[in-house]
Amino acid sequence: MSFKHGKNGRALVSSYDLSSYFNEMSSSQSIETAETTAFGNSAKTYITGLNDGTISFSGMFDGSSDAVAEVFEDIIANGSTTVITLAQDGGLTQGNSCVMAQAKQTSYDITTPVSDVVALSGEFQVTGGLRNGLILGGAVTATASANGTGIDNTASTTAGASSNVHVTANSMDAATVIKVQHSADDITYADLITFTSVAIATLTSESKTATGTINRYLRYQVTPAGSGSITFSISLSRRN
Amino acid sequence: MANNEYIIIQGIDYPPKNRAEAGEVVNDLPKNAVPWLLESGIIKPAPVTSYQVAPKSKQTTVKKEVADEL
Repeated sequence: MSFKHGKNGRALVSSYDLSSYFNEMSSSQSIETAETTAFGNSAKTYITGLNDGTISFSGMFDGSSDAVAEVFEDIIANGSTTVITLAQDGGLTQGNSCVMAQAKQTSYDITTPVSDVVALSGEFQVTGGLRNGLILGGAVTATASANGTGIDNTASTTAGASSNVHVTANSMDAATVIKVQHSADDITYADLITFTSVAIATLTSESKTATGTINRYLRYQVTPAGSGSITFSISLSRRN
Repeated sequence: MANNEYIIIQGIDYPPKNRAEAGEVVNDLPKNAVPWLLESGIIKPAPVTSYQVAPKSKQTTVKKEVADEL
């Protein structure tokens, strides 16, 4: 067994690393069941239905530009679907597990107690299901083309995958391409998912899927076309 | 003769430092990688090219007659 302390938890919401504002985050997965009990049964029977999930955050309020309050206000005002990655397993370290989702914010609360810090919390309704994945690259800062180290998942899978990328800092003076690649031998790598080209100095996030065979080894590839630096985190979940 | 040319379906990076984009035809893929690349649908064998030999054209000899108008 390998227990993990929560102090290294990280929360990526859209194109922001909001970890420094939160002191608690949680994700909840559920699956509904439909009862199929009929006359003659001696015990209730069920069949499984649809997956569902929610994510919640709580922490400290900060109303500064690009801080947590402004981010939450924009998300809930726009009703946008937000890309979220929770690194609960020891932080944004390559190979660690994470929870990945696309979600819509359903609540945003600010609490102002007379004798304590102003607090903030938010709830998100997951759309498309929560997915358990792996960090392929955590807070990677690239100034030139680079490949991540291959992560060995020990076997290939055949039911596709989904991947989240969060670009949290970007001073590049030209576009940057970020990909997920897969391999059966950790030597030759093929493109699996190519994210939308990241424009000059743009912060962004995106979730994309791939179908079919996902080979045993996975890595990221970043290809900046200009000079500067770009910081991103990328994760992938096999749908198996 | 075995055909070792393959059409790239999804871009690949392969040793030593080669990159092939979708649509390209390559013949220098690592032999060990070809089976899994085919199985994964990342490459497919390039069709064998056949060349048609064109018939020789008839050669015509033209004699140049020079008239001596002297």
